[in-house]
Formats: sequence, structure tokens, C-alpha cells
Amino acid sequence: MLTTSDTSGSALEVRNITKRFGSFTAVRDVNFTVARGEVCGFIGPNGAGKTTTMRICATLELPDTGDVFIGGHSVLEEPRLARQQLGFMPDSFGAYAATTVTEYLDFFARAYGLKGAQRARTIAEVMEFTSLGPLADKLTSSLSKGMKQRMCLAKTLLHDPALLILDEPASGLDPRARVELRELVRALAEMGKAVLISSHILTELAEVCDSVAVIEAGRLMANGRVDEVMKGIRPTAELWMRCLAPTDALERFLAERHDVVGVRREGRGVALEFQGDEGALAELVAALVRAELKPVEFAPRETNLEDVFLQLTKGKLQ
Amino acid sequence: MSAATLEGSAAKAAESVRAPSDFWSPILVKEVRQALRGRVFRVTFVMTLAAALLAALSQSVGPDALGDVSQARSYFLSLYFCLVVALVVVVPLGAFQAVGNEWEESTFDLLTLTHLQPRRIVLGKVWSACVQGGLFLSALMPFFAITSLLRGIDLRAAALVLLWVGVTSFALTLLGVALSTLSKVRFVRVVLMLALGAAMMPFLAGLPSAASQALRDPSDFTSLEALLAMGSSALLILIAGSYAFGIACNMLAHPEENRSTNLRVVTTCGSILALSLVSFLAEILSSALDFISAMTIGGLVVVSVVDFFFLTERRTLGQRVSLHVPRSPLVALLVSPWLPGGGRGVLLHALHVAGITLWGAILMAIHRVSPTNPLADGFGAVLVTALLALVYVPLLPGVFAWLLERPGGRLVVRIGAPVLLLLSILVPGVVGAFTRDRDLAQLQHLANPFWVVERAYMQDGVTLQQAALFGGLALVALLINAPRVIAGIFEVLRAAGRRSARSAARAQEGAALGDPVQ
Repeated sequence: MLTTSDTSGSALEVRNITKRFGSFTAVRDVNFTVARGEVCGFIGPNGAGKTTTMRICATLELPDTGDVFIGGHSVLEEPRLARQQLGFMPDSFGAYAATTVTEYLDFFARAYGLKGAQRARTIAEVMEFTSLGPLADKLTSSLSKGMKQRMCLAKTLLHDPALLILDEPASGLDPRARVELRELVRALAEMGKAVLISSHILTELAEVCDSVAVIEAGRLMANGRVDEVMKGIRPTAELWMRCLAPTDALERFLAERHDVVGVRREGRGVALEFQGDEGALAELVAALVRAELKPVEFAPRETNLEDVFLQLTKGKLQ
Repeated sequence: MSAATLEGSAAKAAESVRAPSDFWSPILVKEVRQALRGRVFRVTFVMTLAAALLAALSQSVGPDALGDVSQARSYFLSLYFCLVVALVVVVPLGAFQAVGNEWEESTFDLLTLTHLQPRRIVLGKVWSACVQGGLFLSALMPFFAITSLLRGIDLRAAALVLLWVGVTSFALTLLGVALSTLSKVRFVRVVLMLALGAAMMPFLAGLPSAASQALRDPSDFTSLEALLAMGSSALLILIAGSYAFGIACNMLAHPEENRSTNLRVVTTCGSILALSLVSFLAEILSSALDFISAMTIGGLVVVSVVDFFFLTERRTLGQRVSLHVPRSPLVALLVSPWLPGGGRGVLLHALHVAGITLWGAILMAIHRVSPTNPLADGFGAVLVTALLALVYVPLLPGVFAWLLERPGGRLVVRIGAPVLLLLSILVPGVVGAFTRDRDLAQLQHLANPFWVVERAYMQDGVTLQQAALFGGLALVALLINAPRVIAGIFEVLRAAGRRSARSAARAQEGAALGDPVQ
């Protein structure tokens, strides 16, 4: 249970899926893959089609066209085999009343076909992994939101799925619970599990995701590794620098260089758009020194997921 | 004995306790755990016990305490009423609520993703209700055991009435589960719960009354007629229970799964079982001919009502169902009436009507229907019912086939068709009232199928002209449906072809990889 699995190949392959509800198209021709051991952030504004896509991946909805493959099994043709490979944590889920945490997990372990000692061992392992041990005999109705999320994650792990689909798992959690969830997700990825995770809290995703899929109005706007997507939307790096020499001189110097595509004054220094790799950047610093501009502060500005999200999406509602 | 050995023994003991529960339905285990911890079960259980105790005390303090025959019966019946309330009201309502909790607690999606199929979920809910019923029964059993020691209680009759309440509870539990799966909307669920309550009422009143009769005169209930009546009731409960079970499974299944074949099979098998029973009973009864024609007409009416739902299904098979159509075109063609889809529903209806009519005709022939004028005997009424079934059931779904494909269209047709039938009966009546046409005013016209069948059955059968008229109308109704029937058959054949091609491609892939394909 919860052992490192084979990390070769893709755990989830979404192929050209389209889903309509009457005349409303919730998802249009969406394609992406998530490899084993990869955490993919699925981001988009409200009503963008994230939950519908995730529910299709979880075999709960069917696409009108296209298909989704989980561990090579089509959700259309082999939903049962696909379900064996996936664990789904919906954005809203219930916990049975008058049931303790252990009984809840025991029920789902039975429902996943685990028997006897294996069931007891598996429950103990997932409880340990999700730190639910102290809550074992508590009634589910007395748990906090964060604890319920943990319990649902534990339930999702019971049958050791290769792919985890987590729909807004961090919503409503306090900062500590979010940090703990992030650590759990990272630990799962290190075990070789593929994780598709959606969240509105982009800073959370940025720290945990290897790749992102950005969706708006049912269309996939970008997909790939986080750095690649960032590079795709902004091919230049933004830097800020300050020199002891007058700022006018610095501005003139930078404006003459072919690898600097934009310069503007900002505070006591200048912000610039730089086009080039790290070698070219080192050369720029050396040139500043040679030109006796005396650089004293130099800071690259990192593009984050929030920038990606804002740049790619227009807040369109369907 | 070493500590390690002790530990090993303890683990073995724990395993031996745990092992049998592995074979129980997870739903059963969970539901029983929840119920035993729940307030409703605890309160009703204690109240039932208290009521039984009170009944025992009140019976034992009278002047003829427990010595009088009627006193013993009265004691048994008061206990029986407690049991009826628990098993006929509490247990089915608990099962209704147990399904509703899955919607209200938003746990159904999580359940769908496990290995539990809808069939196991429904069975789990029903078995857990049975366990709760068993607990009620076992709590009251010591009291019933005391009554068996008293004078005036026939043990066979007592066992029989206890069996009745058990069977009724099981049937109502199935109904409760089926009704509960019909809607997730709270308001509709309240209406459905009221419907379940209404279904319970006759049993709540009828079971104690029948039990009183059975205890007073046990021989009435052990006669051949009574046993046949009970056998027939058991068969009806079996068929109705199968429908309830099928409906519950279908409603819990994914909308793209096959949600029709099981009910179609139940309808066909139920018809065969019912006709077999009719054949058997016809051998025993003196007025066999009347009985056969009445039962055949009844069968045609019931099957028509059920088939109407199949005829009003959407046209296509659905993505997942088409992947499971038999590969062989011949087998696919043969099973196509039992596959989902309105066009194939027409085919199934035609088969049902033809089969039942033919069976009735053969039975009537065996029981000497008049060979010179068969239409004048009971067969005329059967024939006219069959023809009307082929007119009224497929006509509107055929005309409004386009509407069935639209969201909400099925509901419109399913509600609209009975309304239109009612109007076709009532409007000529209203016209007759204004034109002072007595026949029309009394709804005695050809657009009233009930009057047509009644007249054919009660009076003089059916004339050749009438048979030809209804036959012509049936032909028109079937022709209107012909495009969707043909489309339905071709869809099945295409799906079979696709499946066959896919299997061949997989076999080729497997051969290329050197992997023997099953």
C-alpha cells in the first residue's frame, strides 16, 4: 500500500473531450496529459469547466466526443477498470452520519474489495499517512472541515490508485491545513502517483505543481510544465536593477543593447525586459561594471501562476 | 506459552472474527452500524418493546387472565399490531431514508467510484432493512412464544400471519428503496414518501384484520383456494418486487449505462410466469374460459402500461450500451427488442402482445373455445384488447418521436399520452351530452377502449368489421413507428459490427505483440 509505483508513462490522458449540457458547451476539445509522479494544477475561473472535466476524468460524466484514458483504460469503454486506477476527491462530499472515522474508512475499504488483514493494514497505513490516528474513534460529524478533507483523502488512497483527482481540496482550509495538504500532495507525487488538482489559491498550486492546465470558457488556454507555460506567455525575463551611476545613464546604456527589449524607471532604479539566457544575463552585469555604472542591486522578477492565470484568462463567463 | 505464540493466537482469533464479515455487503455493514447508532431505530425499538410489555401486562391482569381463548387471541393480535407497525411502517421508511441519505449527505458519487454496483447497493439497503426487521421480530418473539402456550392459538395460523407481515415488510422495503431512488429533489421526495405511506395504510389495517380472521378460523386459510390465492399473491409480489429492484438499480446507475434491459427482461419473464400460473389455475377452476380470457386481457393491459415506458425511451443505445451489444449480428438482432431505445421498445411491445395473445388463444383452444365462431367467445375480447394495445401504446410515442429526443420531452409524452387518452374518451361524452346522444354521453363509443373491451368480454365478442377496423388502426400505428423501429435495428447491427471490428483489431494488436488475446 502507498508504495512507489512505476513512474513511466502517462497516468491520465485527456483526448479532445467536449461536453454539452443542452445548448451549453461546458468543455470544448480539451486535451492534456498527466504523467506518473507529476502534480498538474488545473486552473481556471469559476464556471470554466474544471469540475466537469474532472468529473469526466473520474468517470462520473461522459464526454459527448473524445475520450479519457486512465492508465490506458478508456472511461467510455472500461469505466470499471479506469475506476480501479483513480481516486477522486470531489469539491463537496459528505461523511456518513453516526459513523466514526475508522468505520468510514472500513466501509470504503470493503467497498473497494479489500478483505481481512489486508483491509485492517491498509486502513492503518492511510490513517498514519494522513495523520488521522488520533481521530480514529471520533464521529465524522464532529470533525472540522480540514479533518474531513483529510479523511476523504485517506478514503481516496485506500485502493492505492495511480491517479488522484482532487477538486478544490484546499477550499475552506485554514493556512496550517493548507500547508499540510500541500505536503501530502507532494509526498504522494514522490510515491509516483499522478495528481490532478484544481484550486483557486494559485500560490498554493505554484508550490506544489509540476505542470499546469489553464482552462477558460471550456477551452484549454495553456498546458505544460509550469516554467514552460510561463516562458510561453512571457518569453522575456523581467529584471529590476539599481546602479550608483545616474539612472539616466543606466537607462541610455540599456536602451542601446539588443537583448533588452524594454526599459522603464521604477523607484530608485529601472525595470527592464531582458531577452536571453543566464549567460547573456551574466554578460549584461559584466558590461554594466565595465561601463562603470556600478550596479548595486539586481533582482530578477519571477512570474508566478497568478500572472499566468491573469494573462491567459479574461474572466470570461460561459 | 511464549508472548509471540500468544500474540499469534490473538491475531488468529481476531482474523476468525473478521473473516466472515468480509463476505457481507459493505452497505449492509455500514447501514446496520448507522441504524443501531441512530436515534430513529433506538426510539422505535424501545417503544415497540414497551408496547409489547404493556400489552402483556394488560392481558395478564384481567379476570380471565390468559385463560380465555378470545383473551389469548386478543393478546396475540395486540402483539401482532406492534410488529406490523414496526415491520410495515418503520422498516420500509428507514430503507427509504437510507437511500435519501446518500443524496443528502453527498456520498453517492464516492460510492459510485467504488467496486459496488447499483445492484449491490440496493441489495445492501434491503438486507439492512431485513436485519432491522429481524431485530424487531426477535425482540417480540419471546412474547409471541408465550401466546403459543395459551389456548386458542393455532401454531400454523400464527406462523402464517407472521410470514405475511415478513413478506409485506420485504415488499414495502423494496418499494421504499425504489421510490427513494426516483428523485433527489426534496419536495418530490416528500411526495414519494407520502406515496409510500399511502401504500402502507392498507397493510397496516388489513394485516391485523386478516390475522384475526386466520386465528379465529385457521381452516379457511389452509384450503386449496386460499393456498392458491396466497401462491398467486406471492408471484405478484415477486414480479412487483423485481420491478422495484430493477427500477432502483437503474436509477442508481449512470445515465449512460443500460437502464432498460433488466426491466424488459422482468416484463417478459413476469408475463411468462403469470401465464404459466394462469394455465395451471385454469386446470383447476370450473369456469376456465372466462378466467383465461379475463387473465389474458388483464395481462395485455398490464404489459401495455409497462411497455409504454420502453416505447418512450430515447432513440439511441447510448455510448456505453453500444459497446456491449453482442458481436454476432444474428444474436444482436435476436436480442434487440430487449435493448434500450424507443424503436426497439415498439418491437418488444409487439412481441409481448403477440405472445400473450397466442398463449391465451392456445389455452382457450385447449379449453374448448367455439371452433365455429371464435370471435364470439372470450377470444374476441382478447383479440380486440390486443389490437387496441397495438393502437394506443405505440401511436403517440410514434407521432411524437421527435419530442422524445428533447430534454424533458419524454416526461411530456409520458404524461401527455394518458391525458390524451382520457380526453379521447371524455370529449365524445361531452359532445354526446350536448347533442343528447345517449350512447356518447354514457361514454359508449369506439374511442373508449375500456368500453370496447368490456362490451366484447361481457356481451357478444367482436364482429369481423370491428376486428378489421382495429386491425387497420394497429397497422397504421405500427407503420408510424416503422422508421424508428428500422433505425433501432440498424443501430444494433452497426454497434455489433463495430464491436466485432474492434475485437478483431485487438486480436491483431495482441498477435503483433505476441500476446495471446482472450
